[in-house]
Formats: sequence, structure tokens, C-alpha cells
Amino acid sequence: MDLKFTPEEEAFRQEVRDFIDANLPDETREYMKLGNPPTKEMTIQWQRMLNTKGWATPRWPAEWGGPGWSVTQVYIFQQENQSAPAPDPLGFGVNMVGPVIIQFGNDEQKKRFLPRIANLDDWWCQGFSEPGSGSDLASLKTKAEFDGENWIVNGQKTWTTLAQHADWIFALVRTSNEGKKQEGISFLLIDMKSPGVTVHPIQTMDGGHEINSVFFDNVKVPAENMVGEVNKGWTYAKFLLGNERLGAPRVGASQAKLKELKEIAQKRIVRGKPLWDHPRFRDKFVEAQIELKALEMTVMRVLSGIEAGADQSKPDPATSVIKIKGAQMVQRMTELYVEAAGEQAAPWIDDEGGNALVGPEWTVRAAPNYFNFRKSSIYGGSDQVQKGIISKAILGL
Amino acid sequence: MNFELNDEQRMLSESLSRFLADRYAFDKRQKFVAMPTGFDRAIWQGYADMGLFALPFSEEEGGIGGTAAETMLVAEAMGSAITVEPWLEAIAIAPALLKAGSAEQQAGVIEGLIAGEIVPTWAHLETGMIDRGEGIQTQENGGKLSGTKTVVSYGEEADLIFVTALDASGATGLYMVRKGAGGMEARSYRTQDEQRASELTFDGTPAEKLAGGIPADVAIGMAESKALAASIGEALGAMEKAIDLTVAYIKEREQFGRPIGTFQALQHIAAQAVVEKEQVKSMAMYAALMCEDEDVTTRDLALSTAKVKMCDASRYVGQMAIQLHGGVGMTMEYAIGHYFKRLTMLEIAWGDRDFHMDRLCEAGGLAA
Repeated sequence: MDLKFTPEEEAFRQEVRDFIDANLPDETREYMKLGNPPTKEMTIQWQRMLNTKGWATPRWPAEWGGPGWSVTQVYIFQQENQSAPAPDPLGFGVNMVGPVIIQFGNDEQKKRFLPRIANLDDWWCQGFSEPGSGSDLASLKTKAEFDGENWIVNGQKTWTTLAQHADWIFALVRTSNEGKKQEGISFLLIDMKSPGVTVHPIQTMDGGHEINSVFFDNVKVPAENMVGEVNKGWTYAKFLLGNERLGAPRVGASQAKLKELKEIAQKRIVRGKPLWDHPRFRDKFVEAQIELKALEMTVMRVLSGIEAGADQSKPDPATSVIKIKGAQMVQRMTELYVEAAGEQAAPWIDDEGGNALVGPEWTVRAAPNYFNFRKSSIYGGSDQVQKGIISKAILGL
Repeated sequence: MNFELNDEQRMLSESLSRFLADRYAFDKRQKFVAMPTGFDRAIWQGYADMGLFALPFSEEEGGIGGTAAETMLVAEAMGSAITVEPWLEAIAIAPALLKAGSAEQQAGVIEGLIAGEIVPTWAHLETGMIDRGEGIQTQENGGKLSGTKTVVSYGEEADLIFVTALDASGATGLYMVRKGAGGMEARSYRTQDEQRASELTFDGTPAEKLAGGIPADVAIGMAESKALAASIGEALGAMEKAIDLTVAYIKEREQFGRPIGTFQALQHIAAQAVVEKEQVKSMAMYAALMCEDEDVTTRDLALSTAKVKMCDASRYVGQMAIQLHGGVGMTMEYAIGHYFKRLTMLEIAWGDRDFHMDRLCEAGGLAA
């Protein structure tokens, strides 16, 4: 056991930091510092910049363009990138469909899709949830029938994040109604430009347009777009969700947000003195730091286990712990920003930018982010689903 | 950065767990605690024979040269069996306090500690002591101690008592008092978690000052840090076992015609306990890796962080274990209540939650 970073790792951290400082556009950094999610253009621009360095796909094997980093290096990179703050490489491609293709796809698919995922030439979105299939994902009904040449897809996906930007969607589709519902699901790659695909926006309560409904009406999908074996998609989906959960906590981003919150609290005068000097605020701040440290150590522990050779083809139940705590952490942070903003969290600023700015700029995103991040304990398997997994997989209940 | 155990560490953990499984089943433990000394000296000798007491000392000192990681593994196994001996004093506290002494003083004690011939304890706390360090009243004068120490673990049974006291100039010092020294009176009692402790009164008790090593206050800081880190490992072991016992129980216990472990309400409570315990596991490692940090502020704040998390988790896991056991969880007969009681005492030991929250808040939190 050793927590200390080696001099080589510290040098690596400096290298990452220098690269970010030299290349991250100020405009992106400033925009994200105010709590805004990066725009499509910002994400693409930054991921392509990272890709010139071979850094866009930190956890991919070297054979497919990964940088060949240790988990510690991956961790350092993510910490630096998130705390800059800079856009994450697009998770739907790099952390979700990419690893599935690497693990379960054929050579054709690897050659065709992986370089484009790394360079964000293709923006991917995730077609899992359906109106009738949320936590009970395996009940999904969107069906794909083989006509001898193509899969013909009909149905509806929902909560599809950033589908409005997407070139491709990886979808779970029903290819059989025989046997257990998990055994009739396949993992299909669908071009969003295919005739019969339509995207309808869903506005969330924070006012944002992040999620969508995606409709499939007799969409033709070539046979070669099936990943792995027909009816084995559930296995691939569980693998994907395990990866998603591991990436969920975004520790580096939370560290940066807490640091900023301290600066905010030191400047903000509440009832005659800086908010920072109010013991009840200080307690909450310190408790958030404690939670974050525990989360960070848990993430590092799981990553360390992966590096030591834990079986990666099966999901690690500890990822459920990380998912639950990671979601709570992000949510707690957004609560503290609302509390720090006080009444100045009230003005609603819509897309037309009606100028209702009454407090410092960071107050604008305080309440919307709080509302928006209620999602984090719902998506990727809700807290209750994770507890079900822990009960079953760890406790054997 | 690496959280994996090496082969020696794994072997240490496994052999101690095996020893405790053989010799320290719950019914046997209850026999030990009923002994007049409060623990079984044969078990103590068993620990010595396994080399546990050699862990903290370097090879030159006749030891094995273990680190805080090994201490954590020992503590975790001990917590899992809710052992009652003052092993923490032997493997974490005495080795740190001895550093205040000269080479001869250290050598004179280390051999006996390693062999299991000396059971050590630390008379540190006083009822009027503020902030675990300031406000010491016990006084040394001309090689004799006067004052009263509170909740001294096995104060009457220990062979060697380290005493924190002020010297004539008002400086904090460390002193060694042998069992049966003159002018020492012990008012002893059983603790909530079935260990033994004493109120120790010194009245002109002859004592040997530890001198010639590192400053006493530095040694005290080291001892407290190592003890705190180890106690988090111990709490982890107790939580792991409490969860195991509880899960086994709810798989068997039937109500409404089925095992109560099939009810989702109970499953989610048990799952939350796993979440808490996993966080403590991470924090026990963090504490072990930070408790010897050269920067005292960094060390102390890291330990406080780990302790607060441990307190919250201990309370959740302990209370859930009793709740899910239902009525039988309330009984002295069942093991689970004893785990709950030990966890509760560990929350209080080495600075409670408020003490550590204060320390963090006053420092403005962890450095970013």
C-alpha cells in the first residue's frame, strides 16, 4: 500500500497541467468555471486537441490508440482535466460504446468506429431507457427484426442525453421474446441520419435541453452494425454500466468546485460577516470535504484493484458504492451553492438571456444546477437499483 | 499510488484471522472477559508468538519493521473478533512513546514487549483535560508523580504504565511507572464494551522519565496518531463482522412466512451499511498511509477526516445491526450487541466526532 505519488507521477501531473494551460481555450475555461456545461463545440474542440496528444481515450488499450497509462496516471489526468475545468472526453463514446466495441466488437467495427470515437468525429448517444423501461431496463420493447439483410428497428427511446448533437446511437433492442427478458436483447449501432429516426427535445425543470426522446420508425440498420452476438446485449450493457458507474463521481470536478466554493464563501458577506465565518456553513463545507475524500479513496481503491488484475469483464459491485456516493457528492455540492447564493439564487435566466443578473455571475447556475443534478441519483441505475445490486451481488440476499 | 496488499501483509492478516477463529470465538471471548484480569494472558502470549508485538520495531531493535499498513490489518482482524486485550497499546502506543527515551531505555522495554512479557498501557487522559493534551494536572517532582488519570485501559493489570505529566518547569514529559509502584492506587471497573479500565491516582509514585529521544510532545502526537489510525482499522473489522452477522441472521429469521432478508426495506438498510463500511475501508487505508506523515498538520487533518467518517459509519452500521436483529439484538447473549457497544466506544476514543470536526473547521478544512 502506498498513497504517495512517485516523482514520475508528479512529473506526469505537471505535464498534463502544462498541456491544459497551453491549449485549453480561455473562453471554455471561463464558461465552465461559472458552472455551465460545455457546449458541443467546446467539447469537440477540446477532445480533438487531446486526441492530437493521444490523450482522448485514457483507458483504452494501446492497440486501439490508448496512451498506455497506469490507473494512477488515468486518475491524475482526469483530476487535472476536470479541475481545470475542461470538458471531459465525451463519455458516451470514450467510456461507454468504445470499451464495448473493444471488448465485444469485431475487427471491422473496431477499425471503423474507434478512431472516429477518439477524435469525436462521431458524437454518440445512449439508447437504453424507454418510456416503459426505466429501472426495469430489461423490459425494453424497441424491437429489431432481421429481414435477411437489415435489422428493421421500431420503437422509442427516452432520456437520451444530447441526442440532438448525435451522429450515432448505441441502442439496446429486443431481438427475441423467448425465454428470460434479459436473453432477448441485442446491442445495435444505429446511424442517427437513417430515415425513420426522429429526435424530440425534452426540457428539464432547470430550463435546459439536455435530454430527448428518440423515435424509430422502420429504421433499416445493416447487419454489420450488430455488436457481438445477437441476444447477448444484456451482458454488454452490464459491462458498460459498470464502466459508467466507475466514471460517475468526477472527483476532480468536485474538488475544483469545493475550492471555488471556499473562495466564494470568503468573499460573500452574510449577516454582517463572510459566509465562511459562519460556523454552520463551515461545518457543512468540511463535511462535504470529508465525503469527497472518502469517495476519492474508494475510487482509487477500486482503480488500484483493476490495475492489480481484477477481472474487468464482469462489473465490480464496489462500483455500485461509488455510483451512490458519487451521485450524493455532486448533489450535495449543488445544494451548497444554492445555500451560498441565498436569495440571489432566485432570478431565472432563460435562453434569451433576459438580464436578471442580481448577484455575482456564479449565482446564475446555482439553482439550475441543483435542479438538474437530481438526475445523478436516477440515471445509470438509481440509488435503489444500486442497493438492489449490493443486496444481491455482495450480500446474497 | 497502490492500495494492494503484498504477500507478507496478506499472510499476516490471514494467520491472525485463523488464530482468532480458533481461539477467540464469541463464547470463548465471553469466558476471557469474565476472568479476574479481564483477559487471558495465554492469548497475549499467542499474539507474541505470532510476532505481532515485533511488528512496530525495526530489525535492529529486534523487531520486524512493519508499517502502519500492517498495524491496520492487525486492528481490522482484532475488530472482527472484538478482542479485549490492550494490543493497541503494545503495537501502536508504547512503540511511539518509547521514542522519547534514550536508546538504553528503549532497549530495556522493547525486548519484554516483543516477548509478550510486558503488557503496557498509557495513563494520559485526565478529567480536567481540555483538547486531549492541554490542561494536564499530573505533576512530576524529584522523580515522583502526583495526580489522577482517568479511563486508563487495564491500568491495574498492566505491567508498565506510561504516564503523561508536567515536570517542575511545566513542560510535558513522559514517565514510566512499573506495576505495583508505591503510592499508586487504582480504582478499576469494567467498561461498556467489556474491557477493564482504571482511575489511577499517583501520590509520590516513583517514575522513570523518558529522556534522550525525541521531545515528549512529539512522541505523544505520534502515539495518538497511530492509535487513532489503528482504531479506524479496528472499527472497520467490527463493522464488517457486524454486517456479516446481520446478513446471516436476516437470511434465516422468518416472519410472515419467509426470511426477513427477502424484504426490500431491510435489504436497502443492509446495502446502505455496506456503502458506509466500504467508505470506512477506504478511510482506514487513508489513515494508515497518513498517520506517519512528517507534516503534523497534514497528518492531523487527514486523521480527523477519517475519524469523522468512521464515527458516522459506526453509528449507522451499529444501529442498523441491532435494528435488523430485532429483539434478540438487544440481548447480552447475542454477539451483535457487543459489536455495537465496541463500535460506540471506538467512536468516543481518540477524540470524538466534535473534537475532530472542530480541528478541521478551525483549520479551514483540508488543504485543497
